[in-house]
Amino acid sequence: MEPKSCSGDGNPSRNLHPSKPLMAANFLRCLSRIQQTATNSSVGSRSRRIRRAAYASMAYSAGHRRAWSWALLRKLRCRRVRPVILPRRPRIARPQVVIEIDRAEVLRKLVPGGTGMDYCRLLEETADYIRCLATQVRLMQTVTDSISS
Amino acid sequence: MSFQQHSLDPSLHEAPPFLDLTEANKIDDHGHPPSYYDLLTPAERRYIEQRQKIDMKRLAKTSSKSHRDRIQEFNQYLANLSEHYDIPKIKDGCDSLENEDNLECYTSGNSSGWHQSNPSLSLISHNPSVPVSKGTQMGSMADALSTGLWNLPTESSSLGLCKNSLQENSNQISIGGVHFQAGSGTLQPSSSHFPSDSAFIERAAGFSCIDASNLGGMMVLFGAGVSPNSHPNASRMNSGVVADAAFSTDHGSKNGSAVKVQKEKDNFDGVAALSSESSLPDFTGAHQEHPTGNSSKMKMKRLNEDMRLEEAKVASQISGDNMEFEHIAENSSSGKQAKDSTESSNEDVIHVRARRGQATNSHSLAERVRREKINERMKLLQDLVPGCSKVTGKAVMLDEIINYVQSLQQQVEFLSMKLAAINPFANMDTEAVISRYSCDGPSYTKSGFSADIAHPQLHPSQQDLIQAGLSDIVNPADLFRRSINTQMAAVHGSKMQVHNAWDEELHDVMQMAYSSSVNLDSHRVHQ
Repeated sequence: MEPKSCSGDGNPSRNLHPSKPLMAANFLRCLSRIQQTATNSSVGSRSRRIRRAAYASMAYSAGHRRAWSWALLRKLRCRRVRPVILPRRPRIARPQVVIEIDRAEVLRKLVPGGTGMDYCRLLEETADYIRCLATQVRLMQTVTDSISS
Repeated sequence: MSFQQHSLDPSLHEAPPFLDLTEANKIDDHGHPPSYYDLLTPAERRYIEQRQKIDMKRLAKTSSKSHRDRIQEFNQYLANLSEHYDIPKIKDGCDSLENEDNLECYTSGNSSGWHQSNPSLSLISHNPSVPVSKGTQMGSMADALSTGLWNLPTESSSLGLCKNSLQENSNQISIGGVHFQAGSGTLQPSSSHFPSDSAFIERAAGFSCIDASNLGGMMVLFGAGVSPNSHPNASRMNSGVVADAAFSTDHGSKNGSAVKVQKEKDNFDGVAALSSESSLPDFTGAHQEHPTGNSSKMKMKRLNEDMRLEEAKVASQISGDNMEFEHIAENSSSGKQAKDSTESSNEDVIHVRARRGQATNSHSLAERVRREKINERMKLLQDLVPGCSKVTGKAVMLDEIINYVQSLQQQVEFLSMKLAAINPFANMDTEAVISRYSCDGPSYTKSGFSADIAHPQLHPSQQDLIQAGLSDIVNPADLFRRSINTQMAAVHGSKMQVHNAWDEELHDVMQMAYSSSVNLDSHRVHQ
């Protein structure tokens, strides 16, 4: 899942991305829509939707430049087409001795779009992802605070 | 003792270790002096035979190797060496790259230039009228140098950079105007005077940073360094000049000015400054030789020795004033003289210098570049993740990062659940939220607003927002909502539909959205 337009590998971006107002607007838009439409659905489904909204707004505000946002958007988009639950292969319990945790692999699973990258790129994307996630969390915190107050 | 038939070549030249040579003096029956072979014990003979065999094999192998093979093997050996001693210590405020790029050595071109120079090189001080005018060719400069034009005053070596003589013209090589300030001058102020001539600045930096004792050598290098190579290599060369000068000092000096030099080089990036077409043909030749691995190293070594020689000579003439810039030579301990290892940011191609003692294998170079990149990114991440400043080591750092990302994701989930729980009960007071959030100081990055968004019907629940005070954020958000309403007649369930339907359009709209849309119709909003 390589983005069409990859950000340059030269300098890890230290710009003032993420743009908070963009994210805020996005997220609130989604929230309002959710609120309108799904007042009757359960908390769980609504929370799932809200969570997806959060990620989607985050990915949108990040733009198409970043690999993780692109991958995230694609994943979210495709989810609509296909049901999320894929038939899982029955796991055969193999006597595995995990000697060493491959932390890079773990990180790849965490960061969206991380599977297709080399280590260097992965670190860059992780940095950006962390930045956006932190902003999103702060935003949601603000929203909940303001709503609940 | 009887003669014995032996297959050995009796003409072994080396003295066998076992032989007591006094016995050889005795004459045997047949009138021949007893060959030492006869006097050996069987074990000794076997030993000698084995050794001969091994030697033959070794010599055969060695002699069959071509020069290229030798170089490759050496590179391989270097590539397998540990990099432990090459990893630079990160000093405060210094980039690792700055610390690394200390020294470059010139190859034979420099050495030849060196030899040409008058061993009793001396420097002109305070003589702005040295006739090295604008556009002086390097050849003439070399001549000037070699003719001992530069006289070093013995009483005072006040050398300083004459800033006035440096023009914007990158061809300007007015050595005559170069003074070397004793003791006072730091490099930084001088840089402002000739911003376009980074190479020159570097050399000047080199000069100013060099201890007085090396100035003779510096002059030569300066001359040599102003090379006609009109491509980014030139800048590296010149740092090499500096570096050369630097590490030829005897004084163990600090790294700081090397850093300075590097900083200045960074300031004047992209200058293939010395497009002066003067020719040091040997220098160009030397420059070409850089890619060769061992040969360049060996020549470097030779050059170093030469420079030390010259420096010793010059040192006797120059009163050793401690210039402030001697701290450039800090890294120039005679131990491991490192080559520059910078990446020139001028082009897309990454130029990397191999350090001395490192392989010039393309693979190892690329690997080192990659390693440095990874270190850079890790440092970034360290800043991002809170509480990671003390953590050292990749594994622990990665663990921290993973934990942090997981915790952030969990927080998102938790907050979304919270929002879902409280949402149906509260009317979305979005404008308050936005205003509060915007008070935290985000600034708009986008500009422009599309006035083409139609006026949809306002959702009743949004009219609160509309009637509320208008912040800049509110308007675009509001208009987004309106546009959403226009486009999506029936909004069901997943917002993903919305996204799918017009994600591109949304993107464009959002990009156009955030202007300081003061003129954005308040009347529209209040409809």
